[in-house]
Amino acid sequence: MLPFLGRHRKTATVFAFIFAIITSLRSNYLIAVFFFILSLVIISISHWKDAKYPLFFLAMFDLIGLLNSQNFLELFLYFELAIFASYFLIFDRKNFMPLIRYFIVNSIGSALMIFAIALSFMSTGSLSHLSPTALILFVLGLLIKLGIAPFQDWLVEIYKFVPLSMALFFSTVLTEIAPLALLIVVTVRVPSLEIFAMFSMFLASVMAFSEKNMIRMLALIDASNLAYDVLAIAIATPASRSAALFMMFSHVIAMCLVFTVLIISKSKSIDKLRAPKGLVLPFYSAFFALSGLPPFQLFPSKIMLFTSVFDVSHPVSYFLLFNMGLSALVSLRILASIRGTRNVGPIDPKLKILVWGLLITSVVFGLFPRIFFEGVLSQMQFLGGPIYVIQKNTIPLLSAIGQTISGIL
Amino acid sequence: MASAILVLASRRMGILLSLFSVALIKAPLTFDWLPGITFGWDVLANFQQLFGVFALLVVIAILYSRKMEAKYLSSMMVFCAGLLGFLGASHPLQFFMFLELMIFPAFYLLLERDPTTAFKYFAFMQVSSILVLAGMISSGAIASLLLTLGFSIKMGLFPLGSWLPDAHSQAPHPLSALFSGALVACGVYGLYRFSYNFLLLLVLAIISIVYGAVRASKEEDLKRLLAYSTVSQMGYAALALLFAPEILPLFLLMHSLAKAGLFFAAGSIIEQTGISNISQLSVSSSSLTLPIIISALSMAGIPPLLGFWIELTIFKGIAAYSLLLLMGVLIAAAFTIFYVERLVSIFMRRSPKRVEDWLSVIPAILLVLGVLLVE
Repeated sequence: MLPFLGRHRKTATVFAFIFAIITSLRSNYLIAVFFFILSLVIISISHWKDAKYPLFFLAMFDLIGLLNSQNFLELFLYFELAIFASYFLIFDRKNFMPLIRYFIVNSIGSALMIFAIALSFMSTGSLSHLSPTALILFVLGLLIKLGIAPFQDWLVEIYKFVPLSMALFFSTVLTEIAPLALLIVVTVRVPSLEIFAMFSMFLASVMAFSEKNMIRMLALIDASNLAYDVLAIAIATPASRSAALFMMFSHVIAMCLVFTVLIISKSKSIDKLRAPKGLVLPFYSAFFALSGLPPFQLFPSKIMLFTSVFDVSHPVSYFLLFNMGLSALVSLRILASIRGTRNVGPIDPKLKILVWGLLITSVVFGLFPRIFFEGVLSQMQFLGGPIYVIQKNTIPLLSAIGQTISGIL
Repeated sequence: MASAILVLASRRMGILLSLFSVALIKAPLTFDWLPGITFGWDVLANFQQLFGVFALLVVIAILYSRKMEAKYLSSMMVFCAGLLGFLGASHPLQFFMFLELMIFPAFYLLLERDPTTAFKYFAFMQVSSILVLAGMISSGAIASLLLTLGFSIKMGLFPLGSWLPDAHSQAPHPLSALFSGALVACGVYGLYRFSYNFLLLLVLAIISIVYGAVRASKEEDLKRLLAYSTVSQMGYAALALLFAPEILPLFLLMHSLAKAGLFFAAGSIIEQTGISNISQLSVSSSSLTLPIIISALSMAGIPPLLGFWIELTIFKGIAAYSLLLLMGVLIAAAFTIFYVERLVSIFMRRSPKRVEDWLSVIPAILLVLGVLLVE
């Protein structure tokens, strides 16, 4: 309750998050640690009104609650609370119309989800299982809330109108809630969801390519990446579910990096996109990281997804490959729009540290993705359904160094 | 990769670590990169010498780049990591990863000189990588076709590799040397390791030999001339792969040493004279004259240099297949002498400018010693 009390809400929220990080670390709850650290990062670069920080805190905690929910009703309630907090977070007079649209779309999604729970409860008497019809409705509700194409309009509008730091919060936290919920719900293969995901990623990529506004383009890339997650979840093998989690994690880091460099460069339009002087390398790296090229983190996650899909369905994997090419074209379009450098004055050292920190994180996980599977994934068994859990033995770097030295000896 | 990060903080430590790393990467190793995907690293026995040459070129390129800004030096090191990694890769996805790893640093290095070339390079490499990956996961004739198309782009074979002359001429000199000496060789190596479409590769090879030689004979810019000669030489590499695969490692070794040596030398000439137009260049040098002449003549296949023995083996292989084809290739080979003559002529003009660069001598010495490898 600390953030809700007193006049110094931002400071109180920071303390609350630090407390949450320490508690989560003591319980070895790494996924929570990740999201709480991410929160501190967002707080450090945002300049919102004080009243918004407690709502931000609430949204983050609901995300953790959602991950630990025991039944579908609980999952739905945490989801709704997080979305509810987000309404007030983005509220602004100039954002009124996008907010209304966001509210309406989410309400339709919520209605479908609660109807599915009620339907299933009436027939089975349980809140922990969904009947097949109820599952379809529930997943449909989630997909609408996910902002996946063709339901991406609200997400695109929100990105366009809110400040960049709020868009960062949306892309790294709020849009990740729905795929996590989907991961909990879908534990068996759903071919129709695969087809939907493929259609969605294609549509989002094509729309992103033809988009002129930088922020709308990023929202569409976001929607396309979400469709990758949905595809991995729909395949529902241990490899693909692990790939979905890794993809989400990588996506968060990449989006965080992109939005931070955009905040520094003060660019919102693709025609005025310029790299900030002094941070040219991270600026370009951020967009390369988003396009899924090595040595950045999205590359192994896309490879993991690709191989897991290839094991199950060759045609789907070919389509995925085609879409990866399309994503590269979108990246090329962004990179081609960057026109030289811009002097943005002295850069906040906090932002500089953040950008370099994210870049190094992205490279480390990009080169040694096993760290994620050894360190983080073992903490995710509470999600239910099959995922890879690798025995902790050695980090490949140490193994490689050891082998090299022994080879030389 | 570690040195690429370290160099951002301390240039000297980063360079030392990178040189130390190149010395360390001899041992074969395996590690689990992702669940279910085990990467191994071991260079094929017949490509060990080529790997040694690549490692040497990387060391020379890093030494040449030592005065670059830290961020560019760092990019250079990442590119080198991709280059050396590719030759030792064992898993198809590992090949793909190292191919992709080379894209960003080269793009960033090119961006400073010419953004249009950088984007062109990015687009071509990305298309090439996707085709290669599609080929790796396919089977049969489709796989061969996709791999041939994908790797031909990397090799710069005409008309698929139009990125090559621009990228080679616009890149910083050490990167040009690695592009021409090593990156294009990765394309041939990829075809050697996986599969290729015989007819398509043959057609591309012959067109490239003629086109590259003709364009090189007319080109005025020194680095573009060398770039077009690479297009032509890659045509020979493809012929070596098709008709005398046993000689391919030696051909690539010769080409890497000759072409990298020429680009290192060309870089020094352009930097020290400020002239890149070959008609206006008049150079006198104790250190560069012999290396450039040896490298150029070796490429042209003049006896008793290494290039002669290699081309002889390739021609024997073609003769066994078709005498008519051999005639065509011999006519095309004659064009090589025109651009080699232009290259050598820069040392034979009046009022020359003094240029010295002793680092470029190393590849030429190895090129001469390379004759000892001919069996």
